[in-house]
Amino acid sequence: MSASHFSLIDVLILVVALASVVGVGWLARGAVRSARDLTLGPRTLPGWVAGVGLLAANIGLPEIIGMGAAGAMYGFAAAHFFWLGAIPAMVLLALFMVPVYRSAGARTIPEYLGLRFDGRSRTLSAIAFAVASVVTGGIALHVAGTVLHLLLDWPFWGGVALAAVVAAACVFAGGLRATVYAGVLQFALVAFGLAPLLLVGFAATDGWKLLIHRLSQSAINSMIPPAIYTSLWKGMGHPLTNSFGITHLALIAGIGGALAFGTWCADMRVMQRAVSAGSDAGARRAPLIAAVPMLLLPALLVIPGTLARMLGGGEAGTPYGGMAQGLIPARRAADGTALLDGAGRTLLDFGIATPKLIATLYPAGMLGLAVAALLAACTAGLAANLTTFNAVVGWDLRRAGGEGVSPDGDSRDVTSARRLTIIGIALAVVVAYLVRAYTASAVGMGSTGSGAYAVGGVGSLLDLLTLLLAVVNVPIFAVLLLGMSSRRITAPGAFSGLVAGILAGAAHHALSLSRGALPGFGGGFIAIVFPYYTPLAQRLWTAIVALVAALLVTIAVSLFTRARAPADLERTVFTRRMLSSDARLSWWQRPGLQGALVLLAALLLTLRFR
Amino acid sequence: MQREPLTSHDGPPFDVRRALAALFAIVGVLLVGFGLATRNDERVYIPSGGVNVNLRWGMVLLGFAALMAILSFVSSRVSRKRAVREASRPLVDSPPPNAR
Repeated sequence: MSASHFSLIDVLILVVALASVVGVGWLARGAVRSARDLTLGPRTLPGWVAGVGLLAANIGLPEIIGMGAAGAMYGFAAAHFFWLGAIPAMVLLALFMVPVYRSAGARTIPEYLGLRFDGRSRTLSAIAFAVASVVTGGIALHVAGTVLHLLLDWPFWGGVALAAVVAAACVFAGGLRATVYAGVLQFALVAFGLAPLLLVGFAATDGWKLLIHRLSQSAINSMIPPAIYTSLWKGMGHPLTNSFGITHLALIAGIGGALAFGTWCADMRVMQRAVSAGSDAGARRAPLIAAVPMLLLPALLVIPGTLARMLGGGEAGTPYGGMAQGLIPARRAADGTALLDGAGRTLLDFGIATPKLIATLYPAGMLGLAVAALLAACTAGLAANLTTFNAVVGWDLRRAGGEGVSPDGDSRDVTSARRLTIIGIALAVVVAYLVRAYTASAVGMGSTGSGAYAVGGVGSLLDLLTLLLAVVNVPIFAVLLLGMSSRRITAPGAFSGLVAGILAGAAHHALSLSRGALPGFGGGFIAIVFPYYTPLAQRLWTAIVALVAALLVTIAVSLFTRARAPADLERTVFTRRMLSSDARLSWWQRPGLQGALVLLAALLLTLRFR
Repeated sequence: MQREPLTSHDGPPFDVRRALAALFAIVGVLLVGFGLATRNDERVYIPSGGVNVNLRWGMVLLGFAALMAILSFVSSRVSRKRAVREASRPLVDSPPPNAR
């Protein structure tokens, strides 16, 4: 599918864009006097910069590709990941969690856990974050290499190297502060690079009404309920009547609950950027500012995937025997044969929906801007993972061992913080190649086993990211929530809750499998006790199990252990006093009102597409 | 909650809107220029169904660049005026630097 019309003008635009991203990181670096400047960042950013920066950190290349795939696979229902699965969690982060972080003076999530509980929770969560950030970064690199190979026929290592160098250059230049400012540019590139897909795409599919008509026709021709691709809420009564393969309970508790809060409220990348705002009110407003573009992102990220499936005869329905649907080709095994499900229907390669649409619709010129947008997204996410890695390893883990970054200037520290960046990026590159080796072997396996969820392709990597969220971020969120809400939660309770959540999530994954999948990385490698209709349903329940286990064990153990003296918890447990700076703001500037407005907008949007 | 002194960690003030204006001005000029150069070349616009998306979107980008430049200019003037006002205020009235 490589776009053969990538030409000099595209190269020019790509170079200008990437050079400006690195250049802004360099100009905005501020004074790097100590390792603390690099790893923990400033508390001086304008609220809106912190807000756009945290959005850029969480909308990386895997998320763009993943949401395009979701739009192709699930239709409009993928918007649940934004309106139900992000906005409420972002409001909780802004109004409840950020004030506590600021009051406690915590720069990282493990540091907060250390202040509120003890060193064990701090160390465990820091290790979990360090591993997760390297794996997430590696997957982002792998996706970059794969997508640039598909789009431009670059060798895999070319895309990996370019993304790794740009991201590392940003972090190297000015640490967290540089990556936040570069993130603003990167997010603007994503918005301006992808938005014309809608203009050109709708011109090609004859507009919105006809798109809805084609989606219904496609569902009817595939003999599934006609509203399955166009409705957000219809058919959630039974797993077989909606495209997610789940019920209301998993939708609310999984997409709207466990996974949402794990993604937005227990993510170091998001937390570090929110607390780096210059004022308490600015820090609380940052996630709310990020929530406004989040309301509109389904149009930018999901609809292109839907368009890719419907362009060029997609309304004929799910194809058989290895035929493509719309622009979306069949998944193929290593020997080139198309993968089919049990009924002989084609397994589609949804993961390449958005890149395929870009290669098909964009002329030379816009193509360069789109490639710049994808690479910028990759480097933004990767740089955010590197800053997380630096912070938890350089601050939380080494501190626990008695060293760590010192608050005042020391050039030795700066060198060691920069060395950490190099180690982080090197580990991510290793992960990218491991994933490549694994997917190469797994696709070969898929041709013999096949099934609704043969491993391989970009799509299953995104499932891996969700799994990581479910077993790492979700238990940490449970402990954060309880620790911030109640003084009665104890250090042994928090630590055992973390362990229980991680183990319960992992155990559920090991005991469950989606229909038609082979036991292995996809789950079920011990036994298949819990079968699910789709990989998404399996991931959601893994997250819910991890959340419930962490909550219950934390509460239970806390009841049997002695709580800390109330005086020790003044700064680390939420009280209304932490919102006192609000009194100085006029009513329309208050984060509470702004949060309510964002929630209302999300509610109205989900009802509009019910 | 302690707040770090602005000087030791902040460096020179940086307005990212100026960077946005510069980036999208350059990309906008490239796209508009390429769009104008290829406006009679139908082969280039076969993918986009005959729409000269380079020319149109290039102009949108130039508009965004102009908006960012204006916003940056206005806010730098406002903050300069404020700085002048604060500098001319008698010292007794100004709060101690550490008060929050």
